[in-house]
Amino acid sequence: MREMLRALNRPKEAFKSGNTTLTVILVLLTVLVNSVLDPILEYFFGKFGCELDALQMLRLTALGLASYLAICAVIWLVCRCFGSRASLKEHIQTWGMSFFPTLLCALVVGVTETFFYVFWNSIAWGVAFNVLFGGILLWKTVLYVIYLREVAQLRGGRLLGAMVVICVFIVFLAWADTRLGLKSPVI
Amino acid sequence: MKKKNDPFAGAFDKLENTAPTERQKQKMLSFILEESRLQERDFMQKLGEWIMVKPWRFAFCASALQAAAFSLMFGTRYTNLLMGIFGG
Repeated sequence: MREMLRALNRPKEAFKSGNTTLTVILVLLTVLVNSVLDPILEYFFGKFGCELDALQMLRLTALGLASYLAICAVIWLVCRCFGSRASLKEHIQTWGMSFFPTLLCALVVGVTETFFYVFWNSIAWGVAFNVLFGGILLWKTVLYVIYLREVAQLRGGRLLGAMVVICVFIVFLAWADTRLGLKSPVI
Repeated sequence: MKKKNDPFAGAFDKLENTAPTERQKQKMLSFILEESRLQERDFMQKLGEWIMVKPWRFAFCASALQAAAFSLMFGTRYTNLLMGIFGG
């Protein structure tokens, strides 16, 4: 619990020390929200005629985990090109600590997609979700910068360059994830 | 009449002799300027610290501001656009 609070409130220190357990918990929860909770929500409250497909859930779980490994590999590769010495293992063990906003995003997207008709055209719900989505995006961006500074040890122009290049891959991975069936990208 | 060994006169003499030279004045000025520059940087550092500690606080504050401003300007057109992109 203390580690979780530290990753939430003092990500700089949390990234420096690293915590594999927390990474595993956050990544697994994010993947499971995408692969299990979303289909269940859709089955009970979504479109008529939806069926629960265990095989599809397994496929989405595997896809989510593969997506996490892919983004770690991209971060490692790009950071290495920009002079970072952090290993792939370090990235896999640490990047998941930035998954609080990703997990929150998966939950919010699941709810908004299922109950879309409730929130559409409602100014109050619209503003609330607007604050949530904007906040999640900014939060993840700040964590991304802190991560590249503290774990990849990049500064100045190298940090900026790595950020831009990784961003291109992030956009591509996000597009690929949603195309392959994950409602919110596991990146 | 001036007293011999008057302590006040001695003190004033010393003060006059110990007034800062031009070089010392220049040093003091540059010290003050450097300090003020440091204090300016401190504000930026404080802002950076504020963002880095509890980044969710900064993120949701900034997001609330943009949501309030743009929703007031564009109404449901703006909220629906974001809902369409992120939430459905």
